[in-house]
Amino acid sequence: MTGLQKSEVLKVSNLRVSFNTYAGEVKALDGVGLTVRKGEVLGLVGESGCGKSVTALAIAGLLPPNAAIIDGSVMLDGREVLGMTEKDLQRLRLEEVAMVFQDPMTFLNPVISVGSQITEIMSARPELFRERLVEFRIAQIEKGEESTETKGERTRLGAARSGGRLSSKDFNRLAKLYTISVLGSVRLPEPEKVFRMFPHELSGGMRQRAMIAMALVRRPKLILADEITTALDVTVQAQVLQLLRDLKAQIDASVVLISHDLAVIAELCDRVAVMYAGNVVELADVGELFRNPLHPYTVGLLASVPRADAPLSSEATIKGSVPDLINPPTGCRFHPRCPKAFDKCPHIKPPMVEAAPGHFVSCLLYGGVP
Amino acid sequence: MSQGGDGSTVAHGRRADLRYALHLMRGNKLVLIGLVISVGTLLLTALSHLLVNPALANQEPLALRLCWNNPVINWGITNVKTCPTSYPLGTDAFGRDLLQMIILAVPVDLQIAFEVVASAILIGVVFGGLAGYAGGLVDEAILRITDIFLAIPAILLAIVLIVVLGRSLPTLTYAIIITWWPYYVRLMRSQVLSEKQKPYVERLHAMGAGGPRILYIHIVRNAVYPILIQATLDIGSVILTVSALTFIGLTPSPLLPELGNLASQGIANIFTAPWLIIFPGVTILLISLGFNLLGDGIRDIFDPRLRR
Repeated sequence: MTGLQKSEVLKVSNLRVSFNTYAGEVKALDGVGLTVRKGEVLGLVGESGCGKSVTALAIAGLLPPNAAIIDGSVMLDGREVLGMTEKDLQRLRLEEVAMVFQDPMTFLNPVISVGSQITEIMSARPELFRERLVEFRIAQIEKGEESTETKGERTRLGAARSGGRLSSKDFNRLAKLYTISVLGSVRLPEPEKVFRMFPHELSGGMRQRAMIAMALVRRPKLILADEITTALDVTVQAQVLQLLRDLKAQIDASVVLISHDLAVIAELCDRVAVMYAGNVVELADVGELFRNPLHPYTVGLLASVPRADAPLSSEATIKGSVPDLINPPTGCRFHPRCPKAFDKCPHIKPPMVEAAPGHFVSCLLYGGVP
Repeated sequence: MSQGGDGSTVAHGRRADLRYALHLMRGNKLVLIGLVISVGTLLLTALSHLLVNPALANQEPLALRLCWNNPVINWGITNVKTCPTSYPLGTDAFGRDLLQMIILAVPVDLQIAFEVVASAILIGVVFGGLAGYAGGLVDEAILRITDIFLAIPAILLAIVLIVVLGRSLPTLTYAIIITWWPYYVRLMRSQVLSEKQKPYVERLHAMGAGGPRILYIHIVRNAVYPILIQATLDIGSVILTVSALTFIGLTPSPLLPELGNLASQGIANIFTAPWLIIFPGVTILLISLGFNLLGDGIRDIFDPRLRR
């Protein structure tokens, strides 16, 4: 993890975020560091309140007003996100970072049809989408797909491609056709009809697909998927996961998949970052992490997954409770609950060390003791 | 419907919703009465100039020809002459046909009511939305300005404004708008405050949508329904206010056919010719009642808590 390699889309380093609340300063993130490579799915896993969502919000510049970024940097595609002006951030969110949220019902405007909510993204900034839409439509016509060509459309498209104007009527038609094709690509049945439907007319799984379509339309470099399957039924979860796995092959976006569900992480991710109380404690390839967990917290987390073939044992829980982030434990934040804690743990904040190639861990057991 | 891939089920669902709303409406007699009166008033407004020549209102006064000639009701007043020609509601204080004058008066009142309510909605949506969405100093400033207007009794403020600006129909309208808008700003602000907490607003932020787009395209569409219902209810109230102002004499011309003015001209003869004040008064009552019943009914029918 040295320097910004070309293939890295996102590099978060030493990110420290606090929230000012009535009870005191909540030190939510305490030096988070992670990287996301191009085209990869990074899982972000941890208990509630460990800072997964705060990390995502910080990456998109969406932290609430009472949050303070104390230190660190978020480099997205070579540009620093922290300290960007609101205008730049808006453009960043429109073009490069797309967020998909947990509960698809409440994240759609109930009184506007699904299609309009998606085309709106494009019509808000036509200059950003014009070229892409024209290319899309030309390809569609050449393939002889679906909706019929209107009179003189090819000429107008050709003119628009070579720098001419595109009337807003044509633009809206292209945006609609493109939206329908994206709705189809997230496997919504009869996308033309879904386009006209309102959110309450869709089932939970369909809404989540619409939300994913909303992210895909923008062709972002990075998708932040925050607990996207949590609000869905188990069977629908499986469908959405299947969809994501298929999309992973098609789109060249990188994904940060936030979840507390280890099964979802194991299913979809290339690499996993385990978070605890505002720190990334372990970061490794998904196979390596599940086979060979190093950090005592990761070991506990993996052991605490209930299994169908074994009785629940009280051994399989992590003792104690999530620390109070207003007065977090000194040194390693996990030491009060750690079965392997020793005398140095309360005094030294463990650095991130590479215990095996590509397997990073932040624990004094694996080095970092001066 | 939730399996919703089939578009025809959706269309069917929407039509069923509408049918259900109409069904609720049919079951509610008061709404039907309100609807009939409101639609009747609107029709009368549209047709009044075809039914009655508006020039009749501006004729020179025909030398106080109070007369009553009604084949159905006999008031038993002997010192009032019967008219040479038959007027169903008698004549007004200037000798004009009272029924014709009422027909000419309804559009005048209704036009003011619609202008006032439409302006109040516009001001309310723009400034109330801004106050609720921006918060902070902007919110504080807009609210304090509404406080100033709300602190002065509405009728009193309107009277002062009309006296200062001169008596004419437009100033009457402006004066009432100035007393009316603060309620809409506050209503809209409260709606926007609760609406902007909703997750879809957060999503729009996360998609890079700008403030004006979020507020005026997304939030307003969700927040405007209570305002529209308030507006329906207020049409009756504005008509009452206009009539009250003209009744106490703030009228551009005594000849103006306007319901409050007609009643006002009749008050001097209340004992000899009570119909002069009764018929315009009853008309005011009916129109306000009609719009109020309609507004109440719409609120009930579209209130999701009362459905299902």
